Amino acid sequence: MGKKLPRNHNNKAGGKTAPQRRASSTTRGSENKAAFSIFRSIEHEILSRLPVKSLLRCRSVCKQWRSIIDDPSFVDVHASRSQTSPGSCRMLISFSELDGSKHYFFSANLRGGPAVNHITLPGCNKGSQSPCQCNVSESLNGLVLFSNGTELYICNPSRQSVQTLPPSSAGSWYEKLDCHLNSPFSSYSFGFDPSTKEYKVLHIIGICHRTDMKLSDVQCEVLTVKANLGRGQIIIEGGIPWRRMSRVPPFPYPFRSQGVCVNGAIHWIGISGPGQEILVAFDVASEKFRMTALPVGVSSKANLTQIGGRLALLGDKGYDTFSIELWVLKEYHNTLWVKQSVAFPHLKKQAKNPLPLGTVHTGEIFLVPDVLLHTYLVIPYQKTTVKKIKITRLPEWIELHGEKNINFSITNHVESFLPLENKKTLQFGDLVFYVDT
Amino acid sequence: MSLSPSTSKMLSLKSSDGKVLEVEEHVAVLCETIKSLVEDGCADSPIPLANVDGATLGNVMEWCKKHADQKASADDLEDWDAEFVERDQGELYHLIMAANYLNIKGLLDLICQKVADMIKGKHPEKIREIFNIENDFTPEQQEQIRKDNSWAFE
Repeated sequence: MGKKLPRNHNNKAGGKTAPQRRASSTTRGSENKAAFSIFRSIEHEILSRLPVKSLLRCRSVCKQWRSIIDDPSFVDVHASRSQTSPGSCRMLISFSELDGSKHYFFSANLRGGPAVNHITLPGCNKGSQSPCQCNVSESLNGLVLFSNGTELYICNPSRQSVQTLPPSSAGSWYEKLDCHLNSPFSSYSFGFDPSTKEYKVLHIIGICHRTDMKLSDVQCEVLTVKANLGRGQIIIEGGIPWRRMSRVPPFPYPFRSQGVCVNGAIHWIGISGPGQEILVAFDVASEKFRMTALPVGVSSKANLTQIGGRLALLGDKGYDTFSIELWVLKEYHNTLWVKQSVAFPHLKKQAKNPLPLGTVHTGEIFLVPDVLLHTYLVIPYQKTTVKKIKITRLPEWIELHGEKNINFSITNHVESFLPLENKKTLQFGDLVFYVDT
Repeated sequence: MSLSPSTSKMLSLKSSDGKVLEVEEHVAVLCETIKSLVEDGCADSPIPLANVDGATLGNVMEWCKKHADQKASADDLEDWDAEFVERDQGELYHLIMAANYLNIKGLLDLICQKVADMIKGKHPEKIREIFNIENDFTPEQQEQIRKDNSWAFE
C-alpha cells in the first residue's frame, strides 16, 4: 500500500499542479505573486516536519530548499516541531558488542517498526569476560553523552555526527588509586538549561571505599557546551575544557539513579545515609546542588524518570500485583508529588522484571524488560489499553544473548538537526588546542 | 439531525467562483479568519472568500464539521483525517492555500504533514518531479551537497 500511493500522486503531479500554478499566474498577476510567496512560507512548514535524513537529501533539491534548511534558525524550528509532534517520538536503543569493542546506537519510532542504526562508537574494549563500562546518558533534545571509560563523546545520532570532548583534567590522579580497599569513582551527567540553551557535562570523581560504598576525596568539574545558533553548531565555550567546581554533591555516596534533566536541573536519587534516600538536583545554570524530599511511602526500589517534562518515580512491580505505583511531581516548586496506580498487564516474557526505564512526552509510560528484546510495552498514561510494539532490524543476536552481558540503555529520543563541529584536539601537556578539520 | 445546539446560527460563505455555502456558525468559526469576522459583527451578508474556490471550500467545511463534532473521539478523528488527506496533489495544494488563508491551524498541520510524508524517503530527483521544481544547481554543487552527507543518499 505504501508503494502505491506515491505513484498515484506522481501521475497526477505532472499533469495537474504545474498547469494550475501557471494558469493562476496568467490570470491573477500580482495576486499570484502573493499566493506563491505564501506557498514558499508553507514550504518551510513542510520541511520542518521531515526527519533528518530526508532533510539532508532535500538540500540538493533546489537552492531555495537548501537555504531554508541551512538557515541557522531552522535547527530550532525543527527541534520545536519534533518535540511537540507525537509522530516524532522515538526511542534510542544503545548497546555494546559482546566483547565490548563497539557500542551501537539505534533508534526506532515508539509505534514500532524498523530500527535505524545511526552510529557505532568505540566501546570500552574490556573483553567479553569483564563488565562493559560504557555509559549513555538520556537523550536531551536529541543529543546524548557517551563515555566508554577512556573517551567522552557528545553525539547527535540522527545526523551521524560525533564530537569528542576534551579529557578530564582530573583523569590521571584517581586512576592510580586502585587497590583492594578502594576504587576510583567517576560519573558523568548531562544537563541542559533551556534559558541559556547551554549544555553542561558534570563530572563527579572520587575514591569509593568498598566496605561501605562511601566516597571520599570527591571533586566536581564542569564542561560547558553551547549551541552556536549563528552557525547551528555546538561549541565548547571559549575553548576552556573542564572547570573545577568548589561545590560537591551534598552526601558522600554515589547516586542510586542515572541523571534525569528536567526544568534546567539534573536530578538523581541520592543517598543521605544508610537506607535514606533524597532527591538531589544540580541546577545547570547556577551550578548549585539542592535537595528535595522524596514522597513518603515511595518504594525503595523506585526508578527516577520523567513523564511529559515532569519528574516521576516508578515503583517496582511486586510478584503478585498487577499494578505499579507512579509518583509524579505535579508542582515542581512546591514539591507536590501525586501518587497513581498504573495497571500492569500479566504478560509472560516482559512481565518478569519490567524496568520503567523511560517515558515519553506524550504521556505514555514506556516499560522495557530488563533484557534487550525486540518487543516492548507501551502503557498509555491515565488510560488502560496496553500497546505492544515490535521493533524490527535490530541484530538477531541481542535476543540470544539478551539475558547475559549486554550493557544496554533505552531512552526517549527526538531527532535533532543540530550538527556537531568536527574538531581535532591536539594536546601538549596540559594545553589543549582545537583545530578545525 | 444536527448535533449542534438548536440556537446555532447559519452563516453564508461565498467562494471565489460565486458558489454560496450555508454552514453552521459553530463549524465555520474553526476558521480563525471567519471567527474574527463573526466577533467583529461583520458576518451578516454572505462572507466573500476571494481566495477559495467552491470545491475546496466544500472540502474545508467537511473537515471543520467533523472537527466541530464534540462526540468524535481522538482515535476516530485520527482515522478520519488519514482518509481525508488521501487526495491528489492538486487538491492538497488548494487545501493548503485555503487552510492558510482561513487560518485553520489543525487542517494546515494535517496537510503539511501529509506532504512531508510524500517527501520522506524519496530521492531528490523524484521530489523535483513530484513538486515540479527546477534543479538550479550546477552538477558540481550537486556533487558537493551529496558529499557533505553521502550516507543520507544511500
